[in-house]
Amino acid sequence: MDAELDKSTDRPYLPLAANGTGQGLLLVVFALLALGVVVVHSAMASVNEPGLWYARVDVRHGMFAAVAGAVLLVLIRFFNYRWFARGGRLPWLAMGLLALAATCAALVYVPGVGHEVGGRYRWIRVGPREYAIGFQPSELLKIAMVVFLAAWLTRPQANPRSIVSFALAAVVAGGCISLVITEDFGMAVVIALSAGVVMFLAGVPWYYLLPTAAGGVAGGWYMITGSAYRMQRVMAVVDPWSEANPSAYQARQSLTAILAGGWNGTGLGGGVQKLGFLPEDSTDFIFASFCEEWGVRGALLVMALLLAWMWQCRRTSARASDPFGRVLAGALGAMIAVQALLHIAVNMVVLPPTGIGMPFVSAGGTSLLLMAFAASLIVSVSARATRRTDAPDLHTASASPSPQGEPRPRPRMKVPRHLQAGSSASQAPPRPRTARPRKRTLRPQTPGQPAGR
Amino acid sequence: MSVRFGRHDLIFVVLLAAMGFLGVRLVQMVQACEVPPDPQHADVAERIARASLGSTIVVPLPGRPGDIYARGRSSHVLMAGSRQVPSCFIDPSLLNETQLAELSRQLSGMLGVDPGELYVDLLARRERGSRFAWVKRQVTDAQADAVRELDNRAVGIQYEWRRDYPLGSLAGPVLGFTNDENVPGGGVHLAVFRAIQARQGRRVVLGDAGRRPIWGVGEQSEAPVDGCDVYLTIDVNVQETLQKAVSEAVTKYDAQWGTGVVINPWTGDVLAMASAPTFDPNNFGDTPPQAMLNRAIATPYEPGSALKPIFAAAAVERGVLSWQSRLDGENGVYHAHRGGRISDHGRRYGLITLWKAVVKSSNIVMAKVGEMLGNRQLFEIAHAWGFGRRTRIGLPGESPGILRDLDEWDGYSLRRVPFGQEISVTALQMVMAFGAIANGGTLMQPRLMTRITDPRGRELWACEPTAVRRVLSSGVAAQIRECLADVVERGTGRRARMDRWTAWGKTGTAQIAGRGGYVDGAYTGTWVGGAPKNRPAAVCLISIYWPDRHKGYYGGVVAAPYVKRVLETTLTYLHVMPDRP
Repeated sequence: MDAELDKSTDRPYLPLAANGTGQGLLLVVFALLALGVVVVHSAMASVNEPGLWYARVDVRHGMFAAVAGAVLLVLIRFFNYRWFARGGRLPWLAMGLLALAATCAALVYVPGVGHEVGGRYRWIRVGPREYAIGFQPSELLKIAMVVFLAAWLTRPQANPRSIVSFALAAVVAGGCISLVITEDFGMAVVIALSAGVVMFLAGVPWYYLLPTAAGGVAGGWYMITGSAYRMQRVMAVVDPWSEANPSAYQARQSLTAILAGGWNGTGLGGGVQKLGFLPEDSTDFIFASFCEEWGVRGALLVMALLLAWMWQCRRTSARASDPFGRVLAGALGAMIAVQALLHIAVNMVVLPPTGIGMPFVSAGGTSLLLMAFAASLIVSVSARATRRTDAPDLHTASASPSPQGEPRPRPRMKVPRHLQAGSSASQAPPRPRTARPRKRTLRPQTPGQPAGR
Repeated sequence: MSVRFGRHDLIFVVLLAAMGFLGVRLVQMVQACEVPPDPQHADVAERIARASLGSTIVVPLPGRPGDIYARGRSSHVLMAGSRQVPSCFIDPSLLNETQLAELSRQLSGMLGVDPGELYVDLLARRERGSRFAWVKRQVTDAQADAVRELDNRAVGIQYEWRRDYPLGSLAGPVLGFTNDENVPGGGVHLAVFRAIQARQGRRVVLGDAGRRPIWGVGEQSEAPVDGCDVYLTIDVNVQETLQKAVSEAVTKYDAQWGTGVVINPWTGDVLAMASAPTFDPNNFGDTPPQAMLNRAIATPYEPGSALKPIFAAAAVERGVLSWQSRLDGENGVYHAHRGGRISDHGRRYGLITLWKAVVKSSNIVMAKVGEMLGNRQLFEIAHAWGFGRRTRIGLPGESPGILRDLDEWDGYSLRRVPFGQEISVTALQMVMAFGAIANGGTLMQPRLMTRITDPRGRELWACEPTAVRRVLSSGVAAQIRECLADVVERGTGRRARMDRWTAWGKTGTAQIAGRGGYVDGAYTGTWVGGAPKNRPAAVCLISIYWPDRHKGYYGGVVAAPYVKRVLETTLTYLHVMPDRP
């Protein structure tokens, strides 16, 4: 029996063992996390960094990756993405999350709280000087916006074709973009693209989106041509080897690292560009640093992981049991994929250098934890899919054949009609509080034991 | 299952296309820079190749130059060694102007250099992009510690091998020196430079962009190879005695310079070789170049009468004369046909034997000997005894002396060469010739270096005593030694007489040739002789060049007492049995 009832909603719930898509997502995430620990350590460990051990970026990254993995596993067990859709007309949890994120993002500009790294105010630091806890609110803002827009646009009363609804969503997205665009252009691009994907998936007509996108491009063009600094960065893509362009330095070093790696790379730990030549080698240019040591083969491996991620997210989105899940999984998955692709494109100098980290790989605790949170939301969606996934059935796969020698009949998961994806009645029926069992564990069932429902 | 193409599929396809584009582009990019690269990517490929080396820091590992040892009583004595001294250097390009000024101020206080000069120098080097400059070389350990205390990445201490001469000026001109850049300056240092020289090693370290070392590159690093040790025949005790004696003589008679050599006549070993004024290789920078000259080999001079026994013995050896042959002393003045005027400096001799002529040092008789031998034989004799050619002692700057070609000889030469004019010799040639008299007629090649060993003590090169040729029969050699012992007993060399050993030797008082003739009142006083008479253990020569004529200039006066002192000390030191009752 692979379908359990959801604890909170009494809806069908696939445990992870039976959730092939969820397993795939988790495998990709853990692979990237593990890769990130190795690559960040390789990039940072050889640098003489005086100070306390916990100040070392690679050590902290390893700890954060472990915490992120744990958070992911805990969340997919105990968290339900539908909580964000609660409230119907006013999805208050999603709204609260967005309000918190926006507040934090605004706090960056408050002197004393906002913290500067490399001339950019992207951080909040709280606490005494040496032990301050840093936090990058734009990461939270990005996810909160996607969650809120998905919940808002798929609430039962919503009409995605309504221009008012679109305008409100666009205003929210625009507000989020304007909060970060001056300090973190790359993040603004990711937020804009994610907002577009959410609206597109939620059913907003293309003729609303396209002019908006055109306006965004025009605005971006205006920003670029209006500032010599941004123009130089664009020129860095055209000619990264020009010594006359100071902004081309990062692009040049990144290309150098990738090309120095060649097909096979210099071997793990053998990279040289990370020794102070490649700037931001553990965050914004970790792909280049990775390419130097692992070569094109390693880069193609990472791309294959990304492909797996995108495919699993597409499938999760396609099989989601409700519109919110469909939009949420698709948008969050696309957001992470877009960020990764932007990172790779910047590293390959296909796009001008902007600070975009590689999800799950780049050093940065906030990003890691929140990306794990996003992944857990997607897995949570996949665990409440309408259709069976391709994963082999837990019991038939693990248990020995029955004494009669014939295969056990495959249990079928019944999905109520009103819960199927695309159904208009996606609201949960009243929760039977009394009938809920205390604890529900997954164990192989013997023929004599009744199903635990 | 419906095959509807949903919006999520469109998103997926767009992302897939983007990723495909990036993947293809990555492959293309790497392909374009493969080896051999396309022409239009050649500069990029070269840049990549350079960048993939990172910043390599090459730390020189100085090897230890070889030691030079002399002999002592029972062991070898270090004459020239090396020790490590700290030197302070700086990498100016790591600092900006303010930091440079601050650092110059700090360093000047520690090391005692002028802050202004240092700052200007460093600034200029920084402008040139220099990454290395000495602040001060050879600082003290305390100063080095103080510099380390600064904890400044731009400043460092590097240890260098510095040449050290524990015995100071002892045999300085023989040893020569090596400067701070390991360039040899004469003497043994130059002669066996390749052996002494260490091969510098290097440690190649991969550095990060700030040139902080990350890890060593073993394949490119090399261990230094230390230099080889050289062992000399010089005996420090004999050298000390001789050097003191020569210096004293030069000081006492206010001479321009003096030189002395002590050899073991049987092996040709040079036991001591001194020049005065001498110099201390530890302070080679403060020494005038003349003081660095090894006068015993570098400066030829006319030996004067000291050459008489050689031609007399050669004449006897060739059967032209015997010791008892009587020759006319011409009563003190001899006007030879086409041979100029020769006098005996106030002494008048009639018919005297060759023996007595040598003992009394008669110029006229020696001129007659020359007449009897003829120019060709005289030339052959001089050449056979090693004059006019280098002794091949193996030191740089050795002079062959001046022995003119035979066709330039005339009636003057015929009568002057036998008593030591018109011929210039080096002290070493002279002492080697007397060594042949001492050892029974074999001219030996002088030996200064006995062996060279590698740092592990294995012998790389050895020099055995080498005979050049036989110049006398042992009988004639014994006779001439008897004759020369008479010089000490009743001739011109009475001051060389020793109480315990029978000394023999010959004075030489030669006028110094200047432009267009002999300089008035300028003489070289020489005594060359050995002891004991029957089996000489050492032969010693001391020449005093241009002493103050009012204080004395005869070889028997300015040199003989000092030779006596050197020989007495040497023979005692060598445990030679006294042969005088």
